[in-house]
Amino acid sequence: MKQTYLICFLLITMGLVQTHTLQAQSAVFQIKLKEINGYYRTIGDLKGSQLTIVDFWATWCKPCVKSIPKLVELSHTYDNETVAFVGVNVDSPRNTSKVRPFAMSRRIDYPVLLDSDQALYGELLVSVLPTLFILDKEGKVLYTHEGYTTGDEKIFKEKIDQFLSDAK
Amino acid sequence: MRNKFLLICVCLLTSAFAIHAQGQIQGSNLMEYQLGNIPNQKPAYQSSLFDQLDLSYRFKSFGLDTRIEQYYPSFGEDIDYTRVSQFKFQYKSDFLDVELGNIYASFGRGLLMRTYEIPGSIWETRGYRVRYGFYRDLLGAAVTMKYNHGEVKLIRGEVLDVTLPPTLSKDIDRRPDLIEGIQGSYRLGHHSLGLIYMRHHSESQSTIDADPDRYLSVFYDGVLFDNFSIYGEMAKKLYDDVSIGDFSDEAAYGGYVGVNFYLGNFGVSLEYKDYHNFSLGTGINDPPTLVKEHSYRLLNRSTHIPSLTDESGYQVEVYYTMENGSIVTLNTSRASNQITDDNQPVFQEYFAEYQFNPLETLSAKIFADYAIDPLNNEDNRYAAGTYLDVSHSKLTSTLEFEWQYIERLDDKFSNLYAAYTLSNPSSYSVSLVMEWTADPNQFAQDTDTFNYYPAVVGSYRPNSKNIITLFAGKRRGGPACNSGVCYNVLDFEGVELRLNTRF
Repeated sequence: MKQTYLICFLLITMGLVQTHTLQAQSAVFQIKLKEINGYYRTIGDLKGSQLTIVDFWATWCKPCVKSIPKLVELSHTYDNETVAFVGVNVDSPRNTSKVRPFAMSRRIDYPVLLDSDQALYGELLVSVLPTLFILDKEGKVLYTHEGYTTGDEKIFKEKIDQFLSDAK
Repeated sequence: MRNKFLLICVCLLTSAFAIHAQGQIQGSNLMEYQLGNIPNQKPAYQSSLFDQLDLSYRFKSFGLDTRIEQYYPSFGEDIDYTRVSQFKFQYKSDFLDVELGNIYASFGRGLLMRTYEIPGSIWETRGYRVRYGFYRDLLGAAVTMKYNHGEVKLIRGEVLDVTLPPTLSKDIDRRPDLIEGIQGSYRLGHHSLGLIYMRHHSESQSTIDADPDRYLSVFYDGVLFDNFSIYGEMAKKLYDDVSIGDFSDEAAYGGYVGVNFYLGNFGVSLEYKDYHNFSLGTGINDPPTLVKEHSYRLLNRSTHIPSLTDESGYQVEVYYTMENGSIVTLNTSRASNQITDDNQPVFQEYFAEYQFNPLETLSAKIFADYAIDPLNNEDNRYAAGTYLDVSHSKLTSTLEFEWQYIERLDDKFSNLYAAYTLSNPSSYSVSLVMEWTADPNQFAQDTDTFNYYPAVVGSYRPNSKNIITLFAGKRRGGPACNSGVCYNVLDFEGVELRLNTRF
């Protein structure tokens, strides 16, 4: 019986991976969150004309902290009207007070939204931190990357360039 | 029964795929297989499979979400299960947001109520040995209405007691706390002022049919002068015979103020807390702890869990960024209660970290920490360590080393942690991990003088939708803090295979 369940779930999982059912995700653009500077924004308000890079991070997450300087550097290589970067901080109220000075010390110069109630986090079914999404102008998820290892930023750049090239 | 659940699962999937052309579907799956046991427990090897499938369907302003969990251990037939553990309907528009079912919600900063999920975590306790997803959700409804600068949030539902496994007898209520509340806030520019009223019905034996407890909270959230922001909240239990302005020993209240600002290369966060008789229900509230959540392994384990029955204190964190990009972080926190003398904190910690790049291919962090923790009889606790990240031409190496020295009553002992990781970006990584301890509480036998925990961890990413992680060895359990929540993790010895999938 147990083997049956295992086989069923493996089949389902494999089947799901093969189906590639990603569709437009406009709901992602509609969730309004507080930005660390006090404004209330949606990802839709901050989106790029071609791509939007959304990075979920937390102050206590070691790989997130490691990835941030690389993402800041990467964001400077693109025109932010075309490719917009948005950080989404998912720290709980335990750390919320630290997020703004933390972001400033890391010189994050793209918008950072606070998602302590896990609204956007739940919408995109994030389960690992950090998770980076590349969204197209409709909000469709083109690429997802969970975790971070030094050097992953090269993969992000390749993907962004590839999607920009495809959009032309 | 099991087949029925499986059928529901398959039907949901089939239906979702059948209608996905008209909407949007996405999902994720977490599967973990374990072969092993708590060290020194017999049998040494027993197997279990846990799976958590999340499905999300969106069509215009409507959404459906479901979570299906199953657990099949090779032991204890009565603790296996397959169940639809969460289901949610939602409607979202610019003015109205409605959620029905298993939802996550909070009032203010969580002084009165907060529900949450710990990403990718599986919860297990030594007593029950049942594995299930770690989340404290609320079964009920939440309605949020927004108009111009005003917002009203209505929440009613039963909060899950995460410490009770889903396999318990139906006579035991896993949702003993019912809350009803309203939060109203008005925003003017960068300033927001809010008021919360909440009623809490508890089903504990002593309060059957009792009137609900009533709470009132007021909060302010604002940004001043662009570089200075403040959040303050004062919550209080309402009594018929106690004045709202009474903050004596009999009163129940929670107060929190957080201020942060930056000036040039300095960033500062200052926080103050005062919680008194404010442990609500089975833990439905989760106010800020004001204790640093460390990413270093040994410090993360040596944390302090605040007592909401009576605790006050502060936390200060300072960041200084140098022109070359190096960052200095300083943190100190202190907590005390009325039982101890004013000059004797129940917890105090000083932490310093320096992050720098000595070479173009090398980034480094060094830290030092000192704490006293009288609640755990730890009079002195010292720690230091380093984290090095070296980029090679195609690979990356990471070296971690942490040392801790603790004086606990008559015992003086050290803990060590070392790890080396070799990784190929976006492809695979292999880590060798070793923990060593001379803590007498961790000895397998009285005659031991130390205990150690060697492990190998490998991860492989075949594509952007799947990550396979393999752990083999021995893992030290104990307190762990993740996503702002602290809980106990069990020791484990054996092999663990995890597959994360997104689609």
